[in-house]
Amino acid sequence: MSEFYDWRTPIRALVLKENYNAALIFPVDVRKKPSFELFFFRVARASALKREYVLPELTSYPAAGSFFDFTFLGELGPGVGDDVFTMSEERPFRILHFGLGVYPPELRVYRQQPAGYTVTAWSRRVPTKLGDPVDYFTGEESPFEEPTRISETVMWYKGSVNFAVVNMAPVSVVPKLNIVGAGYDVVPITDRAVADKMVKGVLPCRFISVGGLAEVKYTVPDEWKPYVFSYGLEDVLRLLR
Amino acid sequence: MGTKFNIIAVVGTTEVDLAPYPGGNATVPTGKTRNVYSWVLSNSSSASNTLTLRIYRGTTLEASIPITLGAYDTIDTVSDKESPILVVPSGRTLKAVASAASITVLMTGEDK
Repeated sequence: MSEFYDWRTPIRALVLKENYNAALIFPVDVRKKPSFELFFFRVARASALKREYVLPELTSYPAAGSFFDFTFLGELGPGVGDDVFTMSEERPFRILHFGLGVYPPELRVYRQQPAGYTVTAWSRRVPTKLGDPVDYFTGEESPFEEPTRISETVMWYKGSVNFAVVNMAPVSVVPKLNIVGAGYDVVPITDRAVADKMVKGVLPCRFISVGGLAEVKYTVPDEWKPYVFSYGLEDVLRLLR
Repeated sequence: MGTKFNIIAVVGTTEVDLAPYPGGNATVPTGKTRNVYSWVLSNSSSASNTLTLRIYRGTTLEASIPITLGAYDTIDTVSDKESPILVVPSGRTLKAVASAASITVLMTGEDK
């Protein structure tokens, strides 16, 4: 098994270095004629991303006050103040790539990206409801001190991500999220021939599927739009070798 | 890993804060829990005496732990890092009071 598919791979092992290539995969249509929009980038500069985000105290589930419903992580608390992942319009070619370490181990974290669409491994209609027994990760899977791949998230200017948390610990806790990863300044890859080589596996590239294969509405910066490359299912399948 | 510290106090019949020494705050910082791994409790009085540990949230008393010591008695308890004797949750304040004359309190702990 590739370590990329090991959910417990530490996020620090997946963060890209300078001059590495990355591509974000956005599904456009996954039913009639599957097609995907890909944006290719080269990491020009990678800087460490680290922040501990402390949430207000939660009682033990299922009491009232044992969860926060889907909202953004605000500077002043969940859904309050500026989103901590706010990206400035002056830097459209900046991508955040991080994992979330979770405290306590019993805390469940549900994620929606883009906001309103639950990231799901199951074949349920999205968004799922808070408290569902599926589609979450816990502090067991992504420990506070060592966030793992299961919590891997990317953000970009005009992207959005929401979280919900439920305290399944037997006592009241002050939950914490340890945001660890890197912020990349990237340069777009403008040459289709180079992109083709990456898709064919000739040139190394880290492909990141955003939100899986659901048909959702994505927004990307206007500055990215000239550099979009569309690929069909067969091309994308090659990535999965 | 947090910074280990001592809590040192001589507790009489007036309630006192049990704060990390030196210069610490008896209220546990947000997002941390205060773990106490060992303590020495010594009763300097010639009669039995009860030390009551109290955990407050603001002004609300959430938990009260009475520990009775005989005359000139000393209790020392040491645990390993995985199983602290006392865990004080985030935002709570640890205080103590004795029923009679003074009890010496020495604790070691860590905020995690």
